[in-house]
Amino acid sequence: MEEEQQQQLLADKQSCSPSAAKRFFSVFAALGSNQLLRSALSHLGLFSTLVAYTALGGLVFRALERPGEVTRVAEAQNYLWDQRLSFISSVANFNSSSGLNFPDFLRLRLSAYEESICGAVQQGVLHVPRRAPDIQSASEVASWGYLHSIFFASTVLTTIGYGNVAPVTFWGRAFCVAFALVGIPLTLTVIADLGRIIASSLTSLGDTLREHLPCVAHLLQATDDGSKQGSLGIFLKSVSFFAAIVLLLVYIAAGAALFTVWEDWTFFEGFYFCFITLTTIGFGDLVPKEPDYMLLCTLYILVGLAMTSTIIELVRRQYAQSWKRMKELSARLQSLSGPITDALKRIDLSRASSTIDLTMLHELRDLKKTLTLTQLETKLRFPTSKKNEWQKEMEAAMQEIVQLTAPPKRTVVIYETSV
Amino acid sequence: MERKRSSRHRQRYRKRKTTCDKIKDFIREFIAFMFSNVGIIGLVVGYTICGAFMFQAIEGTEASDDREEAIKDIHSARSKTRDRLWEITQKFNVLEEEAWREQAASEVLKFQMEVIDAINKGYDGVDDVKDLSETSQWSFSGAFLYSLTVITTIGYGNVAPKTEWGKVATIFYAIIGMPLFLLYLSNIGDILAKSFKWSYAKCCLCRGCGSNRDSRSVSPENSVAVQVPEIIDETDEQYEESHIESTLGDSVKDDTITVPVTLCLAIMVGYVCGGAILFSKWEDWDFLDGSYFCFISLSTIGFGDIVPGDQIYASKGLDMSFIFCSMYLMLGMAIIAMCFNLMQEEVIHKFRSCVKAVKNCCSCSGARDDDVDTAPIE
Repeated sequence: MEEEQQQQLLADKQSCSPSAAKRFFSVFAALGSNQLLRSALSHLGLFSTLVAYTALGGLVFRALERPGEVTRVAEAQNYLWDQRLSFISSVANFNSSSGLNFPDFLRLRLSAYEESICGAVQQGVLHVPRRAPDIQSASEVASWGYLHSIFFASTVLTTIGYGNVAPVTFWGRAFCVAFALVGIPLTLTVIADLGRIIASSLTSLGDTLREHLPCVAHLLQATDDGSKQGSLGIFLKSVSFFAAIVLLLVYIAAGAALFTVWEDWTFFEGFYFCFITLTTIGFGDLVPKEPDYMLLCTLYILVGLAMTSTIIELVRRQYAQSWKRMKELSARLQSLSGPITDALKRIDLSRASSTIDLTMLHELRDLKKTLTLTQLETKLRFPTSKKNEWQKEMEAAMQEIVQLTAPPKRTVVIYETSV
Repeated sequence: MERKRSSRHRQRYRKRKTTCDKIKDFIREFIAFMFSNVGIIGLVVGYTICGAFMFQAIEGTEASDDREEAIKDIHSARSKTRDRLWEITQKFNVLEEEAWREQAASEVLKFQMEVIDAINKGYDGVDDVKDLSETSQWSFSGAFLYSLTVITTIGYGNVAPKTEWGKVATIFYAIIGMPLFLLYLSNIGDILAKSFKWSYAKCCLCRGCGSNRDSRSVSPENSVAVQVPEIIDETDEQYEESHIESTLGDSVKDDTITVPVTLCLAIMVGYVCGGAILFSKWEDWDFLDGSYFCFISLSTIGFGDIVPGDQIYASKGLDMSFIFCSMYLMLGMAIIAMCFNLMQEEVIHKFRSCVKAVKNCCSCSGARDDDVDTAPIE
């Protein structure tokens, strides 16, 4: 709530109030490209801070995790190698004096060997050492390469967390916690910033469309007013919402197509991967493995998250706009209902229900107009809200007043309840 | 207070209604209730349980098929290697040991590759096909935890759908579930934040300096807790009230209670540590593993390198640990949301006063300074 208000405040300052926008625009024009440069620089600065932070974090992770991992993998490889040698030599030195026949003995030894393979695989050995293993071969296998580390850092910051690579040492884990604590808010800021840029460019695109295509302009006008034809407005709003969803789907599909080229996945696998990634679920059952494309993949993820937040931003803007209109209407209602209540009280006191003067009728009509507007607004956004209830009652009661049949006492009660 | 008076009036008025209206009112209130306070918890839990059944139905059979295949591979590899070794031994006598060693080594290497392949396919050391139903990843509690990790976007990935239908179902399940969970978080986080703020004001500020305490912003929380149907109106009005305050902007002084950031951080750290202690009891993790797991889960990173019920052979007590973990996560994320809520308030408050101070210092042009976003938490 608070945050919405905060953002709404910013949005109000930036775009909603026309006069401020005009003034800002004139200042903008006076400053010329300088202002543009400045804002672009601020966006760029935020972005490059994130990039630097991610790269730095990746390097630290690499420094913390890689030595341990290399020795661990080397140990596992050595262990596996020894196990194989011992298996072979034990089979070679088999003699039947132990009471077992050869196949049984073989089975026992083989299952023991298999268990040791299982253990080694859990330690990170995925390739079979053909020659006697050393540190060199272990470091080839190790998963904390430069690009892998940076990719890992980016999955931490975006809270995707595939988990195909994860810190194991104490210091790696502790650093991961600290890194995430500082970095996640930073990343969210950058993503929100990107989302805002995309959202405003989309909005300006809509504006230009409105200027250039008259029929579209007419339709959009209807959505903006929202009061003329409620159903049409809702329809168009849902259309724009669906357009946003379709945009996201297209983006995901494009990503899927890219991943079919980069990795050897099917299209559906790529689509599934992109969806799981962009929603930051991040199972990690499918993970990009080609190190060449990892940076591009990171960029794709960042832009995709910004797209997701764009949609949220667009919906929020719409919400903020209608909230503002709602507030204006309620302010008008407040200002109108005061005198009317007074008048009604007067009527109630004097019991002279037949002497409603013209100004009063005028005020009532004004109020009714405002009310219908408000009612449309509420219908648009709070379909189950209880506010409809008193409005209906009020309207009904008002019609009764206009026909001079209702007992004024009741309306006074209603006014007090509603105001 | 005007609001209370108005609600009393409304109730008096409502008595005069017909039964039909009453039923309508009841239904409306019920829906409002479902989407507010306690109802949303039930909704989320129900949705998760539905998801658990659905994924169990879709994935349960297929996953075990996959594992059966892997186990068959292992069995065939074993018998083949045995036979080959036997053949080799018969072919070469013990005298030709070098040749025998060479052949045997290549055979064992082949076996090793096959085992690694099978492990990547899902073989995990359990031979018996009979044990599969007990140790299957898609037991009810496993599927429950899976559904929860989807809608919370934690996504451990230790359990992931393998069939196409499972993947499609996951996509749609997430599309519906994530907004629902976000709603849960914002509602519960809001309520928790309010009640926490209220109790903080009652407990801590009463004996301290009561200067920055304001009854106006405290008292509505009482009615929130008691009058459930009023929630929508209350929050709306609250919203409006605070919105007006925020539009007034700089005129806001310290008439609202803000809980210090350090207290929020302490609560989060305490919750993580408590979770670590609990998990180190349930699982055989040490304290560091537990707190690392809690942090990774609650920040929705969710690597899945440490997951409750990870031991394959520990089929006993597995269910309970899954359920406990789910409860811990749901509560924890609400508490984190609450802390973020409170911290955000505090940070905005601080930032406002900071901006004000800066403006006072150099009250020249710098009007657009507050374009820098302070509140990135979404």
